[in-house]
Amino acid sequence: MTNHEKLQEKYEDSLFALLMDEFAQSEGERLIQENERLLQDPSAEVPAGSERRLLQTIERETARVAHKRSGKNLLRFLGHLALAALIAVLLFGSAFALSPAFRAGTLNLLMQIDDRVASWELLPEINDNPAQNGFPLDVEIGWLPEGYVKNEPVYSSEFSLFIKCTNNSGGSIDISIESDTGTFFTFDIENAEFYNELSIQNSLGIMIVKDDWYRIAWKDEDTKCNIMIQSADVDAEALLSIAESIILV
Amino acid sequence: MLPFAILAIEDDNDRAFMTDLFLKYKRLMYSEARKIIKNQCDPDNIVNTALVKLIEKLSTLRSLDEPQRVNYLITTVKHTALTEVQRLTKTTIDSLDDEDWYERDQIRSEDSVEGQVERRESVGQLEQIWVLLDAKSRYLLRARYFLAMEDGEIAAEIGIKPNSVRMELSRARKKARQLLVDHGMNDPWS
Repeated sequence: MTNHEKLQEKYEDSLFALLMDEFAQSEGERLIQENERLLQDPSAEVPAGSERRLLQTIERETARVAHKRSGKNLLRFLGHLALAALIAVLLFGSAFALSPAFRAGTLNLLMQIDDRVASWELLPEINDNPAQNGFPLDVEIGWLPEGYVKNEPVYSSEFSLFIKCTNNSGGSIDISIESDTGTFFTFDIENAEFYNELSIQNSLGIMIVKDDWYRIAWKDEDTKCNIMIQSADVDAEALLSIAESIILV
Repeated sequence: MLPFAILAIEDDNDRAFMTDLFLKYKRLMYSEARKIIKNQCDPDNIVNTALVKLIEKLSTLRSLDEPQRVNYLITTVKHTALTEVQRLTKTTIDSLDDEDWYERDQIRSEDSVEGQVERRESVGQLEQIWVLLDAKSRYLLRARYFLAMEDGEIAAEIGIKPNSVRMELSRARKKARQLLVDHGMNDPWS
């Protein structure tokens, strides 16, 4: 069927609809007159038993239709709710991923909501093969407090690296590096003396001070690795200086 | 609890509306059903089935003015009766005569020219040639234009393929148009 034929059919359909509408009106008027006549005719009476059964049908079917309609309305409402939730999640996810300030605000909120445990998940990205994604084999530390030296790794695998820096007085600074495979650091911040976000190497990080322990964690933007350093033997300023000097190689 | 309360109100309103409609036109519904079934089945069943169909279309019924609503009501009864008779007698819709009871001012093939002209002044064009249409065309046109039925619904009722409904409707319109032209009325398509 060509486009012209389709339009022609629509035109004929519309014209016919007008004629039929006029016909429906006059037919209805004729039927109303016929009904008036039947109302005067005793032989046209509907048996009482039939009328009772049909009234029961009306009661049953109107209830069924209303029930079905309310079910549809409920489903429609839930559909809208789900869509709104999806949009909110997408907007939140986008804002969280794109805005460091928003991330900091969210983390602040989470920490305020739960003042016992802070789960510090540094935006995991798909990284099943760390070797291909540049998981560092070692760490260069540009600055350490006087007397401290970097030791051989305590633990090393293709996904993580754990190094201790020590001095002769028994002081220790721990450095943990985790590949970005969904690993996250969890900090106990209940009764912490201090916790807040801060910028480390131009990335969002967190510092926690609790029970004389200083901890800093952040994500290295180049390797996408999560890094945490902690110590009970150096102060916050020294720990921050160490963090700023760390290079993954 | 609020949705249930609203549901109950809607249910009550619908029931009251449908009950009023039924009580007002029950005699007409039975009368029209009987004209078609001719003792071949119980009119109670026809009216009952028609009421179930009508309750599904309550929003449409409410939107119509009184004459159009009564026409919708009775067309539903007629179609229910025709479909049931078709099923019982294992015949097609073409062979069912739904208009032999029709007693109105309409053109009959034996009418005189003067009579035709006189009647044209009092009734609509389509109404005048309606009885000259075959039963199947009348059925299809009522289904589509009075009841606003979809192709699938029409096909299911009269036992044809849904794809054929559009073509059948086109033929029915052409027949009506030809009858209008044959009886000296304005061709609405020209």
